[in-house]
Amino acid sequence: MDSSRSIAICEYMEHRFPNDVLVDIRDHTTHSLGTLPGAVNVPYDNLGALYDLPQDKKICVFCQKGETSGEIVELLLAAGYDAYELAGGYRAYLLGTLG
Amino acid sequence: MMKFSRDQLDRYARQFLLSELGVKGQQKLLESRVLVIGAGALGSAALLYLAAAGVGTIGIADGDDVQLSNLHRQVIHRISSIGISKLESAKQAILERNPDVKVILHPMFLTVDNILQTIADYDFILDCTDRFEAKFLINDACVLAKKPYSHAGIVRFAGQIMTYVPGQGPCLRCLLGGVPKNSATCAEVGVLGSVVGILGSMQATEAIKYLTGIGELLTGRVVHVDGLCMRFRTLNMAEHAADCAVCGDHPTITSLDENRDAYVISCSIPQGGTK
Repeated sequence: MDSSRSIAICEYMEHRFPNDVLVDIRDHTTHSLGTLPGAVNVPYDNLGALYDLPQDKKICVFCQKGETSGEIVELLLAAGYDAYELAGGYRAYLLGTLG
Repeated sequence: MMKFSRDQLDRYARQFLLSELGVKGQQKLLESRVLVIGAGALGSAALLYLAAAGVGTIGIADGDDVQLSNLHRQVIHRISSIGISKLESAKQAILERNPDVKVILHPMFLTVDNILQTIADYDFILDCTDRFEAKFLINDACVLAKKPYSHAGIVRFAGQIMTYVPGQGPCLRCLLGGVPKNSATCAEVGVLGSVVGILGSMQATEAIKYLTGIGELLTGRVVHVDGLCMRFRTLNMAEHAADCAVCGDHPTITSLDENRDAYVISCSIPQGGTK
């Protein structure tokens, strides 16, 4: 995956793409306990729902620590989406905004 | 990178999550071709797991029909399979589990005259046969054709497994020299199905690791599994044997044809009784 597809999460939340969808791939329970504002949940145990995402938006994927989001971006890119991963994941976002 | 279908996203989700394997590894599996020689007890476990994991093309070679006495250990076959060919039974079981798999049937026992052309089209071979004559035929064919393969053998409650990759360690002949005298078959002394299942599953794991380039293969190592006391022992043999007849520095076996008598069983064995 091209490194331009990976954007540090705190940086991204300050300067977002105008036409984006934030996708939280963590499980439903974890997502409901706290997520990025406006994020939709496509948990990794229901990956088929990825293809319900709109083709005309920039898809920004994040997970808990930034370890699995890259795989999901690969899947989306192969399916013709304009996809990015938010590097560091939700954990990095919390560390960056609460510190 | 291939585009996965919606079903494939759901089906392989937990394999995508393995960072060693991931999306790229899954694509490699779907593009791979594996031959399983023997649709008996070892083959049953190996085939079920290779198909489940999404190996895209699976060839199966066997000449037997399913018998009731197979079912205690050959778990890919079912009551409804009795009397039909093991190939058809295995193919049905695979297609009912994973439609991504293309199954190629080789309805024969492999011999000196057909093995080389049969293995030619595959990336990895699994020896799931039940007798040493066949094992040495497969070994020699794979060494001569430079094909990687998994060896396994079991009897009673124990078995052994190793992986041969050309140029990366010993072959079966380096280890054993030739067909062991007085080796027992399952029809003579019995076997526990679940132990065979352990070995067959290990064979599938080795194949998947080879195809995706992950982990450490059982090259230069032989793992012996004793199911009765559940001890696993490893025998290390890092290099091929310099005096090995087929892969050594001065090989004496340079074609299968010249050695053909060695691959033939000298006494008759009941049809389908020992896998």
